Amino acid sequence: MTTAFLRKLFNPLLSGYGALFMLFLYAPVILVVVYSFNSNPVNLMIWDHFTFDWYINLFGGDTPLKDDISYVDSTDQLLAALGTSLTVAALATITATVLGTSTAVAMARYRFRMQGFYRLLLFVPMVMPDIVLGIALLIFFVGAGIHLGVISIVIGHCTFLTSYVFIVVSARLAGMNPLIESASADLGANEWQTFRRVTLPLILPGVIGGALLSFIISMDDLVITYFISGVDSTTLPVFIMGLIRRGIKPEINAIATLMLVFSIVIASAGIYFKSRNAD
Amino acid sequence: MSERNSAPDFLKIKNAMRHFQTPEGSLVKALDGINLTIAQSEFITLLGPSGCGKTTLLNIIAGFERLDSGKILLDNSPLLELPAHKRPVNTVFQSYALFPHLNIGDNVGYGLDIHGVAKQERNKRVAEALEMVGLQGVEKRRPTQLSGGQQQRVALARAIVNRPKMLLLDEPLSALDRNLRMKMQIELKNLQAELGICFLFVTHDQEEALTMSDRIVVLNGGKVEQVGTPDEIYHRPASRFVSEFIGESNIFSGTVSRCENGLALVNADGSEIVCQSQQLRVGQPVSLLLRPEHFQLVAGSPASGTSSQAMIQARLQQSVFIGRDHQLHCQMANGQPISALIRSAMAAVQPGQAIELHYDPAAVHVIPAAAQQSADEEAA
Repeated sequence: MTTAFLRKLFNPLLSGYGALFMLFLYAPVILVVVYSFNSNPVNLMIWDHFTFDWYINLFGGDTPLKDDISYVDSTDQLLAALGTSLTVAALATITATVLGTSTAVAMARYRFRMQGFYRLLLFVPMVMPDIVLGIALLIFFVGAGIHLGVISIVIGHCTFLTSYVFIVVSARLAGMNPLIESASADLGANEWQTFRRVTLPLILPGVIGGALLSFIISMDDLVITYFISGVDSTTLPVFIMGLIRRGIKPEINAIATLMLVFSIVIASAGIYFKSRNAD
Repeated sequence: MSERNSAPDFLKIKNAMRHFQTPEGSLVKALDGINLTIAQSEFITLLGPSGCGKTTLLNIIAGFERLDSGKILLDNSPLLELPAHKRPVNTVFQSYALFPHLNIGDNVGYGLDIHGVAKQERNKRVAEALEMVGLQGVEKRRPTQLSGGQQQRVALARAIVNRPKMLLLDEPLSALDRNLRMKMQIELKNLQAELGICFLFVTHDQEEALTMSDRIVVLNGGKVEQVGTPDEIYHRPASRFVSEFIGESNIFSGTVSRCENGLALVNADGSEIVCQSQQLRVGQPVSLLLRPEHFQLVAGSPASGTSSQAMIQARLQQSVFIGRDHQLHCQMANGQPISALIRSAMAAVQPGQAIELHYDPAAVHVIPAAAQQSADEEAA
């Protein structure tokens, strides 16, 4: 009876706490989205009235806004940064997915010397401070005479994205009955045929999940990219960082909202693929 | 049954050795010098307790494991040089190992697809194989939509559709319930006769082995204990291990005290057992086997019929009704337990009662002392 009473008392409290926690997590993000439609050009915390002007301004459209309140001098610069980001993310994702998947398969299916040590090495890039990795890569590229540009950023991103793909694909491989591959060999398939017809289809949700994760992380990375991007290869996060140095202006809300929408789309695709193949 | 086999030495295993290293560093002999010859269309069973090496031997023939030393010839060509995917054998796995992402038709057709069999013939052969295992029209279903017994049949169809020279079955029935298992035993036996290829069946279930096999290979500790027909294995076990592992047994150890008229009298710890044997000498230590069904029950005073010498006096401890028969758990005067199977109608005795268990001296089997030697000779 006492338990029932306590439960009656605490259940609403617990629900209230849960709601507050979610609010704490998402309120800042929601505010950014809301204020991206606020027409007040001076103080972005004071709601004036609804407008699409910031978005229109971003893409170079004519707005009643004065030039000095907008960040983006030219839409071309913004789009160039976005283009660089997409190129880097695409190349890094493909490379990291191939490397990470093959590493995971090798780790799961073969036994070799110092295997445990190699496995440990694969986790290190994820826990290494970004700033250390960024500086190390910069010193390496300069020392090796590699031009800082899209290629250097792709190489840099692959160093840690491979680890993410490795972990996601390894989890999928761990849940797979290795006898299924033996059965494939028994029925006449060589190792490549077995990989192509049995292993890859079964780990595909993990591979796609790892690729999408890589894509988002690559698009979003600031610290490491900051060190290894050249003058002609600014990514979107580095570009935005440069803008903010000149003070916070309402336009940043519009950029943030667009990036948020983009991330949600990618994450939703990931969840969709995961659920579709969950058998 | 095994007389019709066209090639008596279709699969030859010569001195197969395989060691495993335990995590503690000691060596375990999984296969300790196996010699075995299997005929072309034989149903042969590898029988033994877990850890006897039976699955290791099957995996080596399939190509999933390697041999430390020794030779295996299949159809007169060396098998061990070929990788698993080039061997003309197919396996039915204990866990079925069906491809979860493919439907039943594609599972069964997998081997044919790999070998590039034309679509039309492929579909025809898939349908034939499924019909053979009694599963028509399930091509479009997923493995998870089938019951365990049906998945078992799919695994079987997937293996035989490739027309292997030899089918390897790794305890394929162990996950099925009893009734289904007995039904599948008969079906497997019929399928083997129909296909006329060699079935190498691995099991730890002696009943299963006795039901299905043309010949049984009893393995223990990586060595062959005995090779023989189910009848030989059951009635003339070559070693104490075989007689205890197969069926229920009463074993009497003692020394021969008297020999006359082809009968030998063995003194086993105070009680005397008569057996028919020409080879035994007085003073020789010997082990005798009597199966529980070889006894007839005579309660109280001696009765007429069998020779009055060929009986064991015992005290009934417990009588268990098991259907047609009663199982009697008794104890001899020297304390040795003894088990007898008596028709229920004849088993009107009470626990604690003194009884006489009569037997035919011809039914007593003398277990050879040098068991390992004779098993090796038979295999070579």
